[in-house]
Amino acid sequence: MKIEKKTNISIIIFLSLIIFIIVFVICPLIGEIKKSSQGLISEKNKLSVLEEQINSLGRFKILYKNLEEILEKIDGLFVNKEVPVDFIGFLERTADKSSVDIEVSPLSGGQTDTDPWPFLVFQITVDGSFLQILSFLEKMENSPYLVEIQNLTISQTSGEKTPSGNVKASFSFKVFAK
Amino acid sequence: MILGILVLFFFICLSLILLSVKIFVSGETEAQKILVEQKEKELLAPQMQALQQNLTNFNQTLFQLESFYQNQFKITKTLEQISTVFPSEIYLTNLSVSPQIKEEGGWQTSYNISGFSPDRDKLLKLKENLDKQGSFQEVYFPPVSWMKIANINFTATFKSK
Repeated sequence: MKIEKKTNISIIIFLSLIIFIIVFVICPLIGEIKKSSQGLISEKNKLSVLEEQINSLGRFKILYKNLEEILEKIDGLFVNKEVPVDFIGFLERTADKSSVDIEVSPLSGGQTDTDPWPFLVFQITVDGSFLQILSFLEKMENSPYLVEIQNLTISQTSGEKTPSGNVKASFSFKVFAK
Repeated sequence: MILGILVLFFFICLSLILLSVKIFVSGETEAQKILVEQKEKELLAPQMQALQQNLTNFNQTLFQLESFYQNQFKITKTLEQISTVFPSEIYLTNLSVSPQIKEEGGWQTSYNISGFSPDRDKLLKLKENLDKQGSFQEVYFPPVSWMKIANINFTATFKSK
């Protein structure tokens, strides 16, 4: 009877100890491992994102050196806002090439919310045949500047109602500047 | 009794293994945190910030340029379109073109024309051509343009999509 009682007591003690270990040691440890693992995964993800960012910046750094030519070309697309002499020279050369007489009126400038860059507005009057004016407009559209024609009026210069003869085109346009 | 000790020993060993796993994982997490902090500092360095700014500016400029060239209004194209609709002997004395940006994107252009037609039939032909041309709409000739049979000084307005 005594041995049986002793055995029962020892079983109870062992079971209590095992339950104690499971409840107060193993379960919290598993919980903490789970939490730490999630933290580790998130830190690893953060690290890989940062590494990718640094790598792409490194690649861009090398590329940027080779892009200088393109960047210069992009800069050349914009008219100098303070001294637009180059652009006015371009207008005069284009007029010469198209054999038209040109008159550039005073300009204004600004920037609106819908425009990506600041701009200058020019008002131009051109005299020539319709085909010459068309050639001038085509050269303007395909110019190395960012030109946006706002309105155009073409009218006959002489009072004669003949299909031939010179016409006068007056138009205003935006040219983007920096 | 021995079985009890063995089971207890097993659980103690399991606890120790789990503890060492926990210490390892926590250590790794801390190490990763330090690495992340280092990389963040590296990214926040003025040189990297300047490079990042350059990259953002470059991408933005390319996007804006692409959008500009895609939406550029080509006035010569519209003038060519108009020149195709005129019957012979009709000619213009005045042409006014006003492009406007639409809210949903793209352009809507308003045209005001005035000119001379030798007779009414040719003027009717011009109206017919403008109506038939798919890109022109709201073609309007004021009634006064139809009053005379010959030597007509006409005006008209229309729009293009």
